[in-house]
Amino acid sequence: MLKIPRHVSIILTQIFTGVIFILLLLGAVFLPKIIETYFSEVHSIPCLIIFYCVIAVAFAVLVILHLLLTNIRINEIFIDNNVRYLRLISWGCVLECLIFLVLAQYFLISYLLAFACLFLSLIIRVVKNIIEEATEIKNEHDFTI
Amino acid sequence: MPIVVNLDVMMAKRKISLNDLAAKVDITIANLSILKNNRAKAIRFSTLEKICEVLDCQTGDIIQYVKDDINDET
Repeated sequence: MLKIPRHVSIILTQIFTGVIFILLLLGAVFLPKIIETYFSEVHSIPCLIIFYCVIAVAFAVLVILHLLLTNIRINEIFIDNNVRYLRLISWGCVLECLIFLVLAQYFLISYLLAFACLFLSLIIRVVKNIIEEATEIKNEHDFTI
Repeated sequence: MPIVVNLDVMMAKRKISLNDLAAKVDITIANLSILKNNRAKAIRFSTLEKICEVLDCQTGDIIQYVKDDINDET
């Protein structure tokens, strides 16, 4: 298995985050056209609003991810800010879950997406708890004279 | 916090500066400052021993237990 050096891995992740950001931006620009092509006129406006909400939350989560990765790159890992970022990302996933539940009245598959978002938020929540405990241990160590 | 560090009192009594004490105890000024300002969460016995040796005092002169007011009321 190829082992990528840590700093390269972080940069690759940041690049990937940037790529997803651009894809979301393109999605936001072309969304009205996509909605017009694949949806009936009755449902087009509500679906457009819901999809823009999904994209807006995704943008916010990506920005927070970028901030988190920047902190990791400068070796600030077990800090309170990172715990806060993970908490926000988790809540972002819960928000996406709720938005997909609203979308489910138009697409049944959205129930699956909602469940995926909820499951992801749970995983991130557990990771946040681990980082929070590690931050506490590090603070204890740093303030041991 | 119930544990109070009276390092500044002992330093004043012995007329020793933070820089000098840090150099003699062999810890950084930043760490000594954390200890002096009651922001430390723990102290190693080895550090406490060195401080007592340099300041020629007892551990009780450096650290003191002060009951919380809330604990007193209950």
